[in-house]
Amino acid sequence: MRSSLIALLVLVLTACDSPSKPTGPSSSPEAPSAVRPTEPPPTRTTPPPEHPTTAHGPSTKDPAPVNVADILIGDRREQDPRETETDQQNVGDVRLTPDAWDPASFVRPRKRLTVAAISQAMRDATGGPGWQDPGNNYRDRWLASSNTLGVPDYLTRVTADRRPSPTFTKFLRDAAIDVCTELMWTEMDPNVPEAERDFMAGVDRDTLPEDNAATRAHLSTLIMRAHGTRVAVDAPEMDRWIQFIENVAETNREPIAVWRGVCIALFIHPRFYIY
Amino acid sequence: MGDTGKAGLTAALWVCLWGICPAQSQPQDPACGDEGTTLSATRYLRALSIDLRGHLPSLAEYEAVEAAGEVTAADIEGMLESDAFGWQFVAFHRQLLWPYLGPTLPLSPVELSLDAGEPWGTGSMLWYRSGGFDTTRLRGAPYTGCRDAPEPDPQNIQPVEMEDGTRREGYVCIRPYFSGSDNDYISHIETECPDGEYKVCAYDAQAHLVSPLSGLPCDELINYQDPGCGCGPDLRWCGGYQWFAEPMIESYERQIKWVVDHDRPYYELLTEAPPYANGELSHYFQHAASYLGANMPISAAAIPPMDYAADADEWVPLRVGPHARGVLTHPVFLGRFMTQRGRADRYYNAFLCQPFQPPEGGIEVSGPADPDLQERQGCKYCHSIIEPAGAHWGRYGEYGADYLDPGRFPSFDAECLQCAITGDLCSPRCQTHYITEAPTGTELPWLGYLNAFLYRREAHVANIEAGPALMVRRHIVDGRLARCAAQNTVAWLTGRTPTTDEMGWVEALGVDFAESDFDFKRLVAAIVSSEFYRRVR
Repeated sequence: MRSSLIALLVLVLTACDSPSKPTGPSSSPEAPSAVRPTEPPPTRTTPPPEHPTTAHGPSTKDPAPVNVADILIGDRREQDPRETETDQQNVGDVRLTPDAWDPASFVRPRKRLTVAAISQAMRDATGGPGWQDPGNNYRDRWLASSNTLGVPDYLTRVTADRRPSPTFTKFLRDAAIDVCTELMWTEMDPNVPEAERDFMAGVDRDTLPEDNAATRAHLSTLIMRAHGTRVAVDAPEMDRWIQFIENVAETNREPIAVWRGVCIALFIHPRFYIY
Repeated sequence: MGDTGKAGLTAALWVCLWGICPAQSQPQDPACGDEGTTLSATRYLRALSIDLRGHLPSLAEYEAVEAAGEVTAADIEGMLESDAFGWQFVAFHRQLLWPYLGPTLPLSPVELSLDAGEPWGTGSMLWYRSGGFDTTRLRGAPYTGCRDAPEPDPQNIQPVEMEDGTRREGYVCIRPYFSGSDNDYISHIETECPDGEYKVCAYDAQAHLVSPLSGLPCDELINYQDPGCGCGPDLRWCGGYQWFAEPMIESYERQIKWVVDHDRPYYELLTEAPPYANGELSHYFQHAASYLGANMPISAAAIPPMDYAADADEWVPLRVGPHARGVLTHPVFLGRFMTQRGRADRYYNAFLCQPFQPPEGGIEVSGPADPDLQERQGCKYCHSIIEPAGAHWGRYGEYGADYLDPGRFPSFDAECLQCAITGDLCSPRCQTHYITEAPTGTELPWLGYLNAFLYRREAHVANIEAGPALMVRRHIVDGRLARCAAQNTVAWLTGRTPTTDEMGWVEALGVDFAESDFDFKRLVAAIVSSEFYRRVR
């Protein structure tokens, strides 16, 4: 241990000292050390100056008396920097600083559904007629709200506003409540044949949903249709949907109210309108 | 708060608890960080379906992807081959072409009013011309209909002096050209006329092509106040406000869609795509357009016989000459961008990604104001490009959608020069489309030439006769069209303009796009198959 420390001390002192204590090769001890001072070889590529009195530039006649550490890498001596080629070579335009890389590059921002797409998506996810205005010949209320929601008319506005703004989320919530209320009245109506039910196909209309395999499986299907995500029946997220059902059921024991809540939650979830 | 409101509020609360980043709630879609996250296969399918078809995937499609574990190239190809993709292509191009039709184009026939009474349906249910039509000359009072009695002899109308001082003729029963269409909303109401026929005031129902009273032609709007002229056979020159605007927009959009429906090179959107017509537009081009004074690139001769009502949903591509093919010559484009400069500006912005913007620091202005904007200090920075580019629309009238056919509108018209130099009153044709004034003196060499020739240099004269197709061909060759199309498509599908770091990739897409002869579906497939599209934040 002690001998190692001494050897290290010698190494450090020798190496650090060398620039300020010029020594010739003869004065260099032949110690088996990894670093040893050595006289630099003359440069190979720099031609001798025409005027030896030139103030700047090395001279082969009078090499600078500088010792540098000779570093061994394995059994090979590291090349001295002065051995590097210095002839000018054309390697094209080279910028010394790399381009700044924008971390946002090659990652797309999530997009909000367009007004036309969300109108269609509500119909696709439920199998129902979507958000309609029964007082106006069942006109699509999303499309009727286009101007308010930032759809360009190409007269006063030429770019679409696709932000999930407070206005948009307000309309979305209104739409979700209207669509889901109408949907539940239709699909939970005992006079509607089972074959005509879509969103609530296979669900018992008279029984409050409970935490069982059938409820979890139906929820998984609904989430897949609305969000495009498969939530396994035993996944933690499914537990939260079940918990949600139980919470709604605490305020209203009607099955129709519980499933309406699920329907609304599916629509106002960002996973529905952001992709 | 009702049950509905409670449920909605509860649902909202839960979604908030789950957090605004939906992905945080599930392991396969875990991050909203700057580095983004790769969409799961089913979420990827959903994004593809929304962008390429405009609707959600079916449950069966989700299950197929779950079973396969991945969205396949065949899935994407299937979407690109669907009819729905064509409409998404149209929606994408709405952002580039800004379709809008205001009052620029004459798309409203002479308006007919209905005396429906109050409440609606209790009136005489008589139809008569209104809008700009002044009934004072015919009936002695403005905005006045006829009396609610049949006109004994419609060929010899005899108005009756009324107690209120007006003179009113009777009505005749007519089945209008729009009977049975969406614009026919009263034929089901029982009147004194047979089913499907309207009670129309006799003066307005006249079908003469030439006025028996004055000898003037009735098929020109300028003579519509002539007492011997009415709405023409089947009321063909009359109708409702902007009746033809909506079909005209659809004609334009179907022209856009033609490119992907027929797997044509993308540049044919600008040079080859034919305009479309349905029953309504067939009527417009055959009867209303010429009556209203429109001289559009689509002529009546190109229109197949179609029924206004029965063929309202039947759209056919029109066999028209090169001057009417491509979206850059469609009446909607010409009407939306009313000047040659406006048309060139939109084209450069939308299809070359080259907006006309002054340099940073502004433009130095000095010297006298040269009337030629290509030379004027402060203007020439942009106008040395805009003016010769706009000349490609030199044969399309400004402030409308007229086509200046070389047969009827030669480049130089001696008549227009004559009136310009003699001081005689120039005809409307010369005043509108030819250079007949020289307010600065520098216009003198171009007197009598079409407007587009003013200050045109020799090298740019060919632009006028060759039309926009020549300009597009140049930009196909120099690569700008392909590069910009790639850039626009990336922006469409990724939801933002490409960053500087992405431009190399966009450039490569543009090169591949050009090499594939502008195969747009291939370009889209390359973008949506990339990790870039699938990686979101």
